[in-house]
This record gives sequence, C-alpha cells and structure tokens, in this order.
Amino acid sequence: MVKIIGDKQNIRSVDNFSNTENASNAPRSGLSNLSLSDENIALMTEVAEFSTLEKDRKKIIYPEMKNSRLANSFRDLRNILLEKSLGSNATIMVTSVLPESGGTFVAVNLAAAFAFDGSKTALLVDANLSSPGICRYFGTDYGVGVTDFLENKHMKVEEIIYSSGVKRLRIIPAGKHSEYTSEYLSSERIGMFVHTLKSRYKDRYIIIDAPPLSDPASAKQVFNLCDWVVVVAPYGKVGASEIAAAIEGIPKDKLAGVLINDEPVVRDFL
Amino acid sequence: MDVPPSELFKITVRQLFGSKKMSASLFLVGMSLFIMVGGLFPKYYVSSTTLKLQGEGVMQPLMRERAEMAESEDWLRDARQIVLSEDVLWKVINKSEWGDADLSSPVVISGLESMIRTNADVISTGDAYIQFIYKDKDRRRAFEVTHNLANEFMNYLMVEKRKKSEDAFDFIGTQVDVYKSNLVASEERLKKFKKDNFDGTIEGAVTRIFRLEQQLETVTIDLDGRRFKLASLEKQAVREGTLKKGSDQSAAIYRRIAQLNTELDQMRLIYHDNYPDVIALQGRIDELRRSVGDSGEFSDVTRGEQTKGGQRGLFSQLRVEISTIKGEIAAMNVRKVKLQALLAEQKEKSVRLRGAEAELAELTRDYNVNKSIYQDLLMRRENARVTMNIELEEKGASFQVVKPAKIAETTEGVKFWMFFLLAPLVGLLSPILAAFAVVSLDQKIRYPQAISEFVDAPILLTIPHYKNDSDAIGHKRDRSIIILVMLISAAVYGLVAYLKFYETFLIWLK
Repeated sequence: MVKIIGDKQNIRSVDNFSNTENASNAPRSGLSNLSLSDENIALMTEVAEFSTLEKDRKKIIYPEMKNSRLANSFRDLRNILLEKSLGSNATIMVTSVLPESGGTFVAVNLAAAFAFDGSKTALLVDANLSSPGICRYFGTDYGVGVTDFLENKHMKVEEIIYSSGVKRLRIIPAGKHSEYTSEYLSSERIGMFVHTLKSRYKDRYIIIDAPPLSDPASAKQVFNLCDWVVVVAPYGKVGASEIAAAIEGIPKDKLAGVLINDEPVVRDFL
Repeated sequence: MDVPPSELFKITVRQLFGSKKMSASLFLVGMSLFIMVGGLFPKYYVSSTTLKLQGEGVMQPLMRERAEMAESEDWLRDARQIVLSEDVLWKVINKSEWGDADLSSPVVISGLESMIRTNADVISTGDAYIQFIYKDKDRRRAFEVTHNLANEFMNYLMVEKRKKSEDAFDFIGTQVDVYKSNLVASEERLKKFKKDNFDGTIEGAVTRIFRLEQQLETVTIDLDGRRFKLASLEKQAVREGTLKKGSDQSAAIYRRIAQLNTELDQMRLIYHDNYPDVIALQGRIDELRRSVGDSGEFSDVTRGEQTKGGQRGLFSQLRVEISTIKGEIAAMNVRKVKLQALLAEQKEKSVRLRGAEAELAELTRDYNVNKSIYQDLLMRRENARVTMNIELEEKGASFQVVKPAKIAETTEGVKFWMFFLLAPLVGLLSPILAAFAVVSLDQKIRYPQAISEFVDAPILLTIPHYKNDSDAIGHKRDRSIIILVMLISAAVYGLVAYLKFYETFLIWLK
C-alpha cells in the first residue's frame, strides 16, 4: 500500500538527505542541496518506500522480482543507454508510436532500472502534459509540477521534485495546468528547466515520459530537450510502416532505438 | 516480412494463449459447426450392377475375316457416352419412381438428367466387365435407376448395332448397284468401239505402206528409164524427119487432091458440070493445086514415094517406138498417181488406228476397274449380310448381367459418426489455424527483427508482459470459466454420443 504524503508544506520545503533510520519520518519528496556526491546519493532519504507487493501491484520492477526476464529487459535497456551516454548522465525521452502503447510503463520502469544501481539516481519527468500517466503509478495527490514551474517564474525546480516510493527515484509530475501543453513545451523556460535538472546531479538520469508520436506537435518539442529518444511500439498493434512514419521526425543522432513492449508470455496465461 | 519457422511457431502459440477466451470460443464453434456439417451432410445410398461383355470372344475370331463387326472396341468410353445420352436418360427417368416430380415438365426432366449425370458413373472392373454405379438419397430409387441404366444401355446397344449393320448392308447394296451399272456401261462402250474399228490393225497398215512404197519406188525408176529412152528416140526421129519434111506436106495435099478428084468424078456421074457442088469441088481442087504450085506434080509425088521407101521405113519404126513408149509412160504415170493416193490413204489409216488403240486401252482399263470394284463390293455385301444376320440372331458382341443391382442397406461415403469423432480435433485445429492465419496475414509487429528492414532505427529489445498478482487472478478466473465451459461441452458431447451411438456400439460389439 502506497503511502501518500499529502502535506504541500513538507513537499516544497525539503530536498532532504538524512540517515536511513530517519527515512520513515521524512517527507516524501523535496530536494535542497544543489550538488551531491556519490556518497550523498547513497544517503539520500527515501521515504515511504513501496513494498514489493505494492511495486508488483503498480507494475514497477524491483531487483529481486521473480520475473527476472522482465527486470533484465529493463536492465539491458538501461545498459544500452548508459553505453550510448558514455558514462555521463543523460536526458532520455520515452515516447510511443500510439497512445496506450505502454510508454509511461517503459519510462517508469526504465527509471526504476536506473535506480537499481546504488550509485545512480533517476528523475522521472511527466512531460505528457495533456494526458499525464505517472501519477497512476505513484499516486494521484501530487501538487505542483512541470506546468506550474513553467507558469510561475519564481518557482524553483526543487519545489516540484517528489520522492516516488522507489529508492533513488524522484518524480516531477505534469502539474495542474493542462490547457496549453504545446505552448509550455515550446517555451524557453523548459529548456532551462531540463538543463537545470541534468546539471543538478552528475549521476542523475533524467527520464522524460513524452507524449506519443501520434501527437507530433507536442512530441517534437521534447526532442530538443533530450539526449536520447526511445520509441515504444506495442506488440501486435502497429505495423512497420506506422513505426517508420512515426520516427521520421526524430533526429537520427538522438534516436536510441525502437523497442517492442508487452510481448505476451505463454506461461502467464496458463 | 520473413519470419523464421521457429519464431512463427512461438508467435502463433503466443497469439493462441494471449487470447485464450477467443481460442476457447473458436474451439467450441469449430467443433459444433463440424458436428452440424456432419448432421447436414447428404447421405447417399449406392447401388451398382456389373455387366460382362460376352459373345465377342467366340464370334469374332470366327467371323473376323468375313463379318464386319459394327460395334466399337472401346466399350467403356462408349458406355459412358451412351448412358449419359439424353435418349437413354429419358427412358431411365420414365421407368424410375420420382415421387411427386412432374415428368411432363421439360425443366424437371432436365434437372433429373443433370442429377443422374452427376450421381452416375461407369467404370471398368476388368477387361470385359463394366460396372454402373448410381447414388441417391432414396435407396429404392438408387436401385431402380441403376437397374434401368444397365437395361437401357443394353437395349440401346442392341438397337444401335442392328441399325448399324442394316445401314452398312444397305449402303454396300447401293454401291453394288452403282458399280454394276458402271460396269455394264463400260462393257457396252468397249463392244461398240470394237465394232466401229474393224478395219485392220496397225501392223497390217504398216506392212501395206511398206509394200506401196516399194511399188511406188519401182514405178518411179521405170518411169525415169522410159523417159530417157523416149528422149533418145525423139532425137533420132527428129534427125530422120527433117529430110522428108517438105515432100510429106506436098504428098498430103496431093492425096487430098486425088481424093477430091475421086469425089468429083463420082459427082460428075450424077450431075452436070455446072452443078454448084461440082463447081465448088472443082474450085477446091484448083485451089489445092495452086497451093502446091504445080498442077502436074501429082504424078511425081506418087513416084517420089515409091523411090524413097527405105528412109520412110526407119522413120516410121521410130515413130512406132516413140508412140509405144509414150503410151507406156502415160500408163506408168497413172499407176504412180494411184500408188501415191493409196500410200496417203494407208498413212492416214495408220494414224487413225493409233488413236483407236489408245482409246481401246482406256476403255479396257475402265472396264477392268469397274469389274474389280464390283466384285469386291459383291464380296463385302455378302459379309455385311452375314453380320446383319448375326445381329438379328443376337449372336454379336453383347452384355450379360453378372451382378444385378440391389437395394443398398446402408449409406455410403462419409458418415455422421466420422464427423462426430473428428469434431474435437477440428475444434482444436480451429483456434490454432485462426491464430496462425492472424500472425501470418496481419502485418502488425510481433517479431522485432522483422521490422529492421523497414525501419531506419536500431531495434533495442522486446519487453515481456508484466503479469502481477491481480493479472494472475484475472487469468485464473478466465481459466476457471474456460475449464467449466469445456467440461460442460464434454458432457454434452458425451451425452450426444451416448444417445446417438450407444445402441449401434452394442450391436457392433456383438
């Protein structure tokens, strides 16, 4: 059972690092320090950690899970991206060919896979502003997010970063404003926003859950903000020509590749 | 896109189990439909009769040289054509029972004919055996139609064979008459020609020409000899003649004067000297005397003749000879002309004889050809007569029923229990085939490598479905429902099997 900490005062006020023993009393999210060492990451306060049962229910992978094939798939994906990034942190956009293709699922679990490693953290940003999906995984009671930050020039980045319930994984929700999504994504402030996120921690990997490629106006804005684009194609639902058409606008140097999601496993159905 | 067979298999299995409710539904629908097809599948009773070609083996070797066997050797092919012909089918339909069918309607008849053509078959079951097979939903009608097909086939053959034999005999008879009249006509022409061309042979004409030519040659040579001799005699005579030419003329006048004087003397005996005729005669004599110039020469002439008597004899002899030769030459000229005419006539005749000879050869050949054909036709007519008599006595090739048609007890072909037994298997195959069809025909991506040739991007990996506990509960619920439905279906299947086949099974066991 996820434990949602709904106190906005606490959320905004802290980006705490504390000893693990204080974890249960700490607010769920919030960051204060602008630079962190590897040791600091290890000491990052993780509050209201999801139990394995909760993770399983929410379909978030964890290292010790029984379905090792699934966990390993995301590990492999993480390793491919690490290799491409040559060791430095990167901004990775996860988008899908069609809506409901599992793009958010892949983004969440890719972020979780980065967080498997004790020396790395992941920050999951919900950039699917018109149809945010991250809250389905981590709860619905978040406050301000990306759109609020873009709307309010006085707002600081740390005010919208939340703890997720998964160790070393932080999230930034879409926010409360969902009316001008395309305009937000094309604003100058979002560039600064992403740059700040990336430069804040050198071992933090930014995973952006982007709108599907079927909404090219929104998706295209995010290409410029990221280092790599991962395209999710749902198993048995799209053709090769649809995939080819969808990735046409993605710059070749940023396209990490296409993955097939949600392949049925016979054993699961027996 | 090319998918390796092993991958295709995996994808198919994933498809099959990924949509297991659909697969289970397809299983039930496939099985039920197959059982329904089995129930509705037309059931036929099959009746057959076997005929044996007989008679041919006994009759044909004996009659091969003399009898013209009218029937074709390929019975099977003919049998099919005959049995399926409209005439035979019409008779078969009229002799069989068709329930309420209106046999006066051409449409109904046509429909029945089509049905028989579809359901009937003629096969060979040995060298001289033919089997007629007919299937029908009505066991009684299957028997009737089979029986009638065989009977009508034999009747048709009998009638047809007789008709063919008679036609052959009639035709040959007509030809015999034609050639007989031809032969008589050519015989008449030959006779008439021989009668009209009785004036010798070409050899006779040639001999005659040869002989005439010889004779003409002889006459020509003789004629030339005579002409030469005549020329020589005439030269001699001319020489002799010039010596006495003048005295000869005077002597003639004197002889005339003497003659006239005689006449004058005689007249003076009767008439006076002044009688006109006497005066005229006297005048004439004077005139003659003046012409010779001397009135007193008369006596000299007479004297001269006597003195020159030797010369006159040679001349006269020459004259006689010349005259004789001239006569001979004239006779020979006549003969030569005659011979030439005869020769021309003979030559003309020989040309005519040659023409006649060619015509004779043609007439003779015509006669001989007609005679030969006529004799041959006579022989054929006799053969045809024998064949016809054999057919009339039904001793030609014919059929004997060795296995009569019977009323079938059970249906033939695919039976309901076969469908029923195979239905679970068909049901099982239905979702498998459907899944295979979907993954084969649907172009959606199920195999990552398959898109690499179309998509200009790295293919990262495939992420499997994440089944959590709530999914597992859903799967379990689905599985339970499917198992329940399957159990109910199996129970229904068993119940139907019991009700439908139990008694048969017991009978079969006994």
